[in-house]
Amino acid sequence: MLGAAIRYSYLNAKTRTMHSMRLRPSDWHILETTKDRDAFLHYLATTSYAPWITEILEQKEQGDEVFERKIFGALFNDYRKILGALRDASSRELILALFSRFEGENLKILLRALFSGLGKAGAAHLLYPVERLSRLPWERLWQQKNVRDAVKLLEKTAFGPMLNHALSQFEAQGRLFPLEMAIDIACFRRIDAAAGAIGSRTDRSRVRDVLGSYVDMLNICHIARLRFVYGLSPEEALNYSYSGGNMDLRTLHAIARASDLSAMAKVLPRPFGGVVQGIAGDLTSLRLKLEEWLIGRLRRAFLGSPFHLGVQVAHLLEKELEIRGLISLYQARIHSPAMKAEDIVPGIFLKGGEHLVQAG
Amino acid sequence: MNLRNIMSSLMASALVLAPTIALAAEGAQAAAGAPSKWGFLGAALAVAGSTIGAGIAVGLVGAAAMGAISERPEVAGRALIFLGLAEGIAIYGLIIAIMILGKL
Repeated sequence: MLGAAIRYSYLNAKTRTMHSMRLRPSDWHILETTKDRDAFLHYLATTSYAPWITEILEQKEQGDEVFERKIFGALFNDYRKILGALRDASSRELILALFSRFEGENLKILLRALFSGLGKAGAAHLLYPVERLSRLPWERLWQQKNVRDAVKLLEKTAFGPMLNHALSQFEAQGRLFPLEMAIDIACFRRIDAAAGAIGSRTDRSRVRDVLGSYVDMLNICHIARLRFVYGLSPEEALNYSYSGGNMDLRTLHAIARASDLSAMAKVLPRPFGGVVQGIAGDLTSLRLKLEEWLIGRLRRAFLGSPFHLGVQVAHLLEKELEIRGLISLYQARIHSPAMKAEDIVPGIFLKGGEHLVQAG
Repeated sequence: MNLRNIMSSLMASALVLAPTIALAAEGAQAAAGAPSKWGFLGAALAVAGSTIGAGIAVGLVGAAAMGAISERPEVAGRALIFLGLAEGIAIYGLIIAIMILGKL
């Protein structure tokens, strides 16, 4: 206990302070009722997102993508602070593995740009601002002439083995889908391996608890999207599921074999079966219900003994969900102002929902 | 890990031994009719143990305070209160030491 307190006293206080600066239900309510884009941004500039919003407002940059990418600077800043305060190599690797999902998103954009002959200038507005933390050779990657060369350049990175494996599929099918899936799977394998390599047993079990819930939620949404939007077979959808969740292969298989969303809801194990009861039948409501449940689980990491790495992981994941919710609300304010926040943002952000935290 | 175990053992020993030694000192003093070196040792241990404890507590609370203040400077005042509470642990040892010395 004393050792854990010495390791985490600074980081825990810092993380909890960062967590305390998240948006309140009243902030969400005001953002929901703002009359236009500028009013939305000006209100957001009075919250903890101020440094990033002020930048957008000062530069008078236009375009939704600028907001959507710049706002992630707030999350990457928290990643940087947490990494700066962590000394243990295995803990740092876990946080870097979580961060690699954003590197992966940028890689997907890079591959799409190379595939369609678009230069960096044409895709720059779509890129996450990962430069301060990423160690991938971005400049050299953007100088490559084609997808194969870029994949070769990534050979010695965490993405290398999976991308090399998917390269033949990409060349046979003539589409980027196998490479994009390979990037996602590489990220989650890295996260799973990093979580398993954490030295302290308490840290490992608390991190597994948080990440297991996160991966389960992602797997359900991911399988549903692959099956019902992209029309993949159950086996293919299962093949693209992420590792590190609490659900076993048999359960995932049963989920993938469901013929539609309501049939899927019936085969979901506890606690998901109860969580998705009464969904409207579309993927958005499924995702919102599961995200709401996940945020409740993430906030539980802040209860009980405070000295473990699960607190940092939970904070980063919740902040990511908060930013994704903000982006959805921002897009709704611009494109469909009549849309209600509760249809696009997890209810726990809007109403507090501390009961969900206690119930898990 | 070893250092932590040694520190914990030292502190536990100090806390248990200080009153025991003081009582022994009192007994010895009564028998001999003169101040005993055991009394001084008991007082020293009481101060040492409580100071080490306070040092650890201030280290932990101070680190946490720095973490919180670096994010929200306005909580500095409140953080100082908790630092004061941690520092207070040393005073308990000092009081015990004064009580022991008063009996010598």
